[in-house]
Amino acid sequence: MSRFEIYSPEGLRVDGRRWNEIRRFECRINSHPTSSDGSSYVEQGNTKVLCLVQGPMEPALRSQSSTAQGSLIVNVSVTPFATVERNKRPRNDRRIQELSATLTRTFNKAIVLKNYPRSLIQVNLQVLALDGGLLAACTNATTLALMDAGISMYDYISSVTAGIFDGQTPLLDLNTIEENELGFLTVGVIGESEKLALLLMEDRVGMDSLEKVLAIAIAGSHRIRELMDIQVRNYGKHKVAKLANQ
Amino acid sequence: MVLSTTERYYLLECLSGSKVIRADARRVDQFRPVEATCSFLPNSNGSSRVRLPDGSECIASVKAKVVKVESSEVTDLLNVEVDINGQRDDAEAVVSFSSILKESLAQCIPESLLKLTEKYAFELSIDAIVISYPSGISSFYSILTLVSMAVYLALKSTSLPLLTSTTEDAEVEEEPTFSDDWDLAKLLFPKDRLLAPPLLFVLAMVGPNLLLDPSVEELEVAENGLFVGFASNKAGAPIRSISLNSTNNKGLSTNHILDAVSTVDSVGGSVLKALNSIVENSTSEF
Amino acid sequence: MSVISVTGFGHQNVSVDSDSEDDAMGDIEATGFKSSIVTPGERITDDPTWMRGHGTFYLSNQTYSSVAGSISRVSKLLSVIPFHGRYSPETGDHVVGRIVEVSQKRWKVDIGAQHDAILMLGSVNLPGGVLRRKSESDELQMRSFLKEGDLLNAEVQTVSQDGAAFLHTRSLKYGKLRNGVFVRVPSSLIVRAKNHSHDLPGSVSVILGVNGFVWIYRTKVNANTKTENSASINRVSAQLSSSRDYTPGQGSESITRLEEESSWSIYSDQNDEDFPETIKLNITRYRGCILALAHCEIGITGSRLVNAYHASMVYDNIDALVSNQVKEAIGRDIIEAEKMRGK
Repeated sequence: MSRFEIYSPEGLRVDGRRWNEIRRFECRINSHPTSSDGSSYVEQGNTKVLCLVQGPMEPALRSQSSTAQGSLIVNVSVTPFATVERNKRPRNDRRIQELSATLTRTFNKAIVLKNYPRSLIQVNLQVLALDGGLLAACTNATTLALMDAGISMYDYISSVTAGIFDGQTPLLDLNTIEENELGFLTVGVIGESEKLALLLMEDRVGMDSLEKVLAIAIAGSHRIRELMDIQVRNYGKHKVAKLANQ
Repeated sequence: MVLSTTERYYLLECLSGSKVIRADARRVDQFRPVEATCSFLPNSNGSSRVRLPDGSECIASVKAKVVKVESSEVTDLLNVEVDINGQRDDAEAVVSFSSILKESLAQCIPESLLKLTEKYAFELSIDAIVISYPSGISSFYSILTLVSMAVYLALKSTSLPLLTSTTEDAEVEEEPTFSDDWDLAKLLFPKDRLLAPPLLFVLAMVGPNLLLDPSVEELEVAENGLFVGFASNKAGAPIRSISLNSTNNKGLSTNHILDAVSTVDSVGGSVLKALNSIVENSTSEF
Repeated sequence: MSVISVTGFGHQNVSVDSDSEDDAMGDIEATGFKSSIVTPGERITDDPTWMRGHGTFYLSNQTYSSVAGSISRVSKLLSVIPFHGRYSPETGDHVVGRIVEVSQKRWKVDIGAQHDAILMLGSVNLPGGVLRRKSESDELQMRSFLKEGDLLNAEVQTVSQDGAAFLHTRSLKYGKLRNGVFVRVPSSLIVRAKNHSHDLPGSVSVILGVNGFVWIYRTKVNANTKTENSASINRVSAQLSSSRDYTPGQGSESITRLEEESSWSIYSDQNDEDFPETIKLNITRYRGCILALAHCEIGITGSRLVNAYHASMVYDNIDALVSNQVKEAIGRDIIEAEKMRGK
């Protein structure tokens, strides 16, 4: 395969973005009102993720029931058609299981679980199309769907990826081509703070460039939080207006 | 879904009388309204999303791949997989829906549609994922029609790149090449041909009555059921009887079967028309 | 007549330019708070005198919102009510529920809340007198009163610390449900009111459970005489039980039999025998009207339901109510009619 020009001397990336630009971000809240307690749909570039939350509800198994706090289960399933080449993953795919575990860990801290004793919150994520930023899109979709379900959270968790080109230029919100070529990391930022609820780095990123990459990733996450917040408030206004009708 | 005894009796009485009163106000030959969209997956050749009022939802995708043809069997070029969220891959509904769909598709997709050159053809991978359905349902047949509609829409919206190399390549050592201009792509099922993917319609029997597209509650009290295929603008194979619940089972009479076929015959065309309008007016949004 | 309606997905549009800042400015002066709509992590106030209720958390002298919702202030209690979420029971709520489990001395009831509600054997009226004591044989035959799948309506007696509701059916208006159909709507659409059971035109009654579970049924035939009867029974048994050594079955045989018959009938699984088709059609029409109101996100009340029913009468055939266009037309009718009346 011919090597793409990841970052041109003119400062453009494969899809025409600048180094510090996120991809088109669109989201919807309450996309599945009948079949879930909370739902959302997130598009980050060509990555499309759907999230359905059930609960808080009575756990099916005693083992899921704790009197101290609620339990959280996160399931991720990547559809076989999500990637350009069809790829059916086995249900126990290690990468996907790890992804679920990472999300569970992150949201165990973000949800006010002590408010939900003897209850189960179940998050189901369906990845419909995948073009980089899998964990980031799943994190954002989960944040929105939990909010739609009226579940107490300390703050937004907004997430994006960032990589480093030639050890010099940090690039924000990578697509698949860029992810394959560059070392990158995913962050999940707590609200408007600079604190991270989530950090995942699976490739080499030079220690000297880490600060730059983190800085742009946090800025990108803040932008995504803003876009999600606008959507949530618009939805809220619509709901409040309807309520006024009563 | 468990109904109370009184609900069950009431429902049964309303459905088995001389004037059928369906709980959701439908006529016996009326479908549940559906919401649908297609062509929203950039990585697939065709895609669709269909949802019922009870929240059941199916997302389907069609991906085409160029393969060297070894046999002339259409079934080898069709790969159909149904996935029902939360059900194992070897669950009865998952296995049987996959095979029912594959059989009915193989019957009405002529080989010529997939044949590219003398040596190459398109292999279609059709995936249908049921992302939600009412909890505690005793029969998945309430969503078979939904799944078949999703597959129909995904196939109807499937476009394939235009072949730029020769079709007569029997003697040539050459792989097919395609135009990368998607405006030149052609639909797998051209609009001007009668050829269309098949649909599957489920019918439930209650007393002497036949109910098209039974809801979850209706399946709970139905005495028997069957599904009927609709392809090439007429009802036909596959026709199969299905068991809908474990409590209330009675035999199927010839009249029921003939009635079912004629009902499907009379409504099928309208369903195709309604679905086609979605394909034509699609905004490619999820 | 259309056989099927296939429509696109209705979405609210994503608009990126937000005018929330304008709102925030306007609201500060009126309420002392930034905005009535808040999202998780948003600071609501640094005034420590507020009591913090649901939907908030407290961190270094600041009160923050933990949900996306609107601020509610009741005297000094500050809470945030989420836009959307499961039904959360409150004492006194009239709910409809479905039995999911029968265990020792209690039924578990699905009311669409975070936890299944509990109905204790001691919180129901049992055959043989309102005030008689529950015996071991009652425990053994709990399924003959209420079993899995059965629907009932009840009142929330108390709510436990973790939000589970305890129900009771100790009134003649509560108990097992017969002669009708069930439909579920979002609980946010049911407006809490004094009365949640309504007799409607067309010999149909409805129970609008606060939890969004709705039961539509045939209005009780001779409802008046029946209530009178049971009221007198109550009086009789009250008199009897006031004498200390009263045991069930004691006293005049005829009264006991009367009592038992009427009481057993409250747990009967039989619908009415002579159920006119017209009433069945009306029940279905009302069900369609409720779904039409829900589709338009209009709060559902008894009077609105009657209006919707009348508005639906322009469609002779009830199958018209299946289509979303018709639902929206009914919704518009209701809202416009209310505006005309200056509501």
